[in-house]
Amino acid sequence: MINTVYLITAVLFSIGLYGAISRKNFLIILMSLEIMFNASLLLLLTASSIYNNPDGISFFFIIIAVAACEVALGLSIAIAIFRKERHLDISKIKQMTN
Amino acid sequence: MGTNNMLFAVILLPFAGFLFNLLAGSFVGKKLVSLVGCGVVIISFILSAQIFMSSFLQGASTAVQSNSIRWIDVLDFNVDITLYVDHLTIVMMLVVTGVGSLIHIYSVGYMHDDKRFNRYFSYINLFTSFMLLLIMGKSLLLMFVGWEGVGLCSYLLIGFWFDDKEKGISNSLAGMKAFIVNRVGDLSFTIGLMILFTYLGEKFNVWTLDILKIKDVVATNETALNIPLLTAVCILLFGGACGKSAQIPLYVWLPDAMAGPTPVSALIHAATMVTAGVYMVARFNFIFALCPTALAVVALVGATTALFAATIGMTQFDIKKVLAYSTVSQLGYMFLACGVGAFIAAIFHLVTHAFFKACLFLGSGSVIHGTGGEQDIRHMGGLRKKMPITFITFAIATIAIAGIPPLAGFFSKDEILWKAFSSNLAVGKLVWIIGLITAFITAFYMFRLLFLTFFGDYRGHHHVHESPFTMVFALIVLATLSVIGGWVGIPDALGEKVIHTQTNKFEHFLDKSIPHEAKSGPLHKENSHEHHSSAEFILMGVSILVALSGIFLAYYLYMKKKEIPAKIASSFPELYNTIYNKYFVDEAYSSAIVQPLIASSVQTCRFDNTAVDGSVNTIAYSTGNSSKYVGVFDNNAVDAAVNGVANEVYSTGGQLRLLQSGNIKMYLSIAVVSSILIMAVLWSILEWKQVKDFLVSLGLL
Repeated sequence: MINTVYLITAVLFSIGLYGAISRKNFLIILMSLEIMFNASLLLLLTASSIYNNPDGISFFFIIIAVAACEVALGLSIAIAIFRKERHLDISKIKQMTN
Repeated sequence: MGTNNMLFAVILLPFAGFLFNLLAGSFVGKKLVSLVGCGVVIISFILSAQIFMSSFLQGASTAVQSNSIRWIDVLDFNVDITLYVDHLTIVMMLVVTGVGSLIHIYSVGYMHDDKRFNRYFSYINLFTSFMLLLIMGKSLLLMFVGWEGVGLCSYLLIGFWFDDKEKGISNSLAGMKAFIVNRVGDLSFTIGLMILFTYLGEKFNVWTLDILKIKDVVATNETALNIPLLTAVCILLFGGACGKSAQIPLYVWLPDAMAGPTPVSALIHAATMVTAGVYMVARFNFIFALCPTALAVVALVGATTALFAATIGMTQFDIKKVLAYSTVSQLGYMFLACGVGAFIAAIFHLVTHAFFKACLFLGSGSVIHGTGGEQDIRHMGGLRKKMPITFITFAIATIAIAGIPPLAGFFSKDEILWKAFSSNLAVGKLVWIIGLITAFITAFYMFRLLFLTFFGDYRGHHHVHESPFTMVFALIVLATLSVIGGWVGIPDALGEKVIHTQTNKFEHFLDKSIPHEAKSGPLHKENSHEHHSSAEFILMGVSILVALSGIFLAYYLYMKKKEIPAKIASSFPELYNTIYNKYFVDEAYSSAIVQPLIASSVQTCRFDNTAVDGSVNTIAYSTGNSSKYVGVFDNNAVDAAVNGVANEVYSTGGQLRLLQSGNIKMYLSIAVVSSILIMAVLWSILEWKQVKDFLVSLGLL
C-alpha cells in the first residue's frame, strides 16, 4: 500500500517535471508545477500517516493555503505577460536577461 | 442490487455522466452526449423511486443508510462518507432526479444548436451529482461539499455563454456576482457550523459533524442547552440559507443569474439548488424549533422577501426576470413557513413549486426559443395560437402558482397560510397578513405575464414556431404534475369532511423525519389535536378570493383597459421608478460595499507608494550620502586590492553570463540536471550500504 503511494508520488512528480520542461505555454507550465507540488504534498501526507503523526496533515493545510496564494500570484504574472506580449509562449519571452 | 450500492449509484451515475461528457463528449457526437447525459439522471431517478418503493412505501418505513467510508481521520476527529436517506431526503431525491430528468430531456432540444453542447451536459450532470450529495450526505461536511459544489456548477452555468458577442461580459459578471454573494452566505454558514461543533464538543464532549449524532445530543440534553448561543447558531446557519436561497439581503444574485440558459434557470435557479437553503433549515428543524427568536427572524425575513420580490415582479418586462423575482418571492414563502415551525409545509411548497416553476421557466424557454431569443414581453403577445402547447402548459402552471384549487399551488400555499395563522408564535398573524398580500400580488403579476405574452396581438417581428418534441414533452409532464402534485397534501380538514379519511399523506409521511408536534419549546401547542376545521375553511375561502381578485385585476388592467397601467406608472413616477429599478438595491450595494472597497484599495496603494516607499527611499538616500565619505577611502585603498580580484571575477562572469539567457526553460533544465547531479554526488560520497539501509527502512527496497 505504502509502496504504491510512493510510486504514485514519483509518477506524479515525473509527469509534472516532464510537463514543466517540455511545454511552452506558461499556463501549462504553471499547472505542471502544481502537479509536482501536489506530488510532494502527497508524500508529506503519506509520511504523516505512516508515522501516525498529525503534524504532517496540519502542515498540509497550511501549505495548500500558501499554494493557493502562489497560484494567484502565478496567474497574475501570466495575465501581466499576456497583456504586454499578447501570447504566453515562454520560449519567446526573454525579459529575465539583463 | 443492494440498497448500499443503490445509494452510491444514485450519486455516482450523474458523476460518471459528467466525466464522460467532459472527457469524451467532444468526440462522440451530440446524440451520444444527450443519451448519456439524460440517461444517467433518468437511471438515478429510477433508482430513487426504487428506494422509495422498497424502503419507504412498504416495510418498516425507516431511514436507510449506506456503508461508511472513512474520509478524515486525524486523532479524535473522524468524518465518514455515509449516505443517509430518510423521509425528507427521499422527497428531495425524487424532486431533484425527477424534475432534473425532465429538464435534461428538455435541454436536448433547447441547447441543440449550441457549440458547447457536451460541456453543458457535463456541467448539468455534475450539478445533479452535487445536489444529491448535498441532500444525502449524513455528515455536515459532506453536505457542505455538495453545497459548495452546486454553487460552483451554478457559477459555471450562469456564465455559460461567456463568449457571447453582445452580452458575454455581463453573463460572466452575473456568474461572478452569484459566486461572490454566495460566499458571504457560506461564510456565515461555516461560522455557524463551527460554533455548533465546538459548543457540542466542549459542553457534551461529542465532537461530531454527523447530523444524527447532533440530533441525539440536542434531544437528550434539551434542558441543558444554551439557547441564546443556539439562536446565534441558527441565525448564522440561516445566513447561509439566505445566500443560497436568495433571501434579503443576499437575493441580488438570483435575478442576474437569469443570464444562463433557460433550462439552467429552471433546474438550478428555481427547482433545486435555491431550495437547498430551505432543505437545510428543515434538516436543522430540531435546533430551530428550540429558538423562538431565530424562528421569528426566519419568518420575518421570509415574509419580507416574499412581499418585496413580488412587488418588483409586478413591474418587470423581461419574462425571465419576472419569473426570477417570483422564485425569490416563493422561496420567501417557504422560509415564512419554516419560521412558523411548519417545516413540512415548507417542503411541500418546495415540491409543488419545483413542478410549476420548472414548468413556467421551461415554458418561457420555449417562448424564447420560438420567438428567436426575444425576452421582452412588450414584444410578444398573441402567442396563444402560434404555440398552443406551450400556452396551455404555461397557463396551467400560472393558475397553479396563483393558488386556484385543485391545482398544486393552492394546497401548499394554503397549508403555509393556515399554519402561519394558527401558529402561537408572536409573528404568526403578521406574516399571515403579509403572505396573503403576497398571494394577491403573485396572482396579479403572473396573470399579467400570461396576458401580455399569450393574449392580444403579436407585437414582434420574428417568425414564431412551436418547440420540438423533447421540449414540449417536459412541459406536458410538468404541467400534469402542477395539476396533480398537490393532491398528496390535501388538508386533513377537507379530506375528513368530504371522504372521511386523512388526506394529508405528505405530512404524515414526513412526520417521521420532521416531528409534527413539538414536545416542548415555542412550537408546543396545548390542544394540538383540536381541529379548527371551520376556521381553516374560512381561510381557504379567503385565499381563493384573494387569488381570484388578483387575477381579475390583471385581466381588467391588461385585457380590458390596456391604457391604465401606463397611466398608473406615469401618475406615480417616483414610486414606479423605484420599484422598476428594483428599489435601487444593486446601486446601494455598489456604493456601500463595492466602491468603498475599491476606494480603500486605492488608498492602500497610495500609502504604499508614499509612506512605505518614501521611508525606504529616505534610508537609501542617507545611506548613499554617508557612503560617499567611506568611498574616498574605499577608492584609494581597498579598490586596488579588490580590482585584482574583480578582474578575475569579471572574466569568469563574462563566461557565466551566457547562461543567463532569459530562457526560462533553460533555467529549469539546469535546475533539474543540477539536482540530479547533486543526488549522484551524494550517492557516490555516501557509502552504498548506508543508502541501502535507509531505503530498506523506508520499505522502498
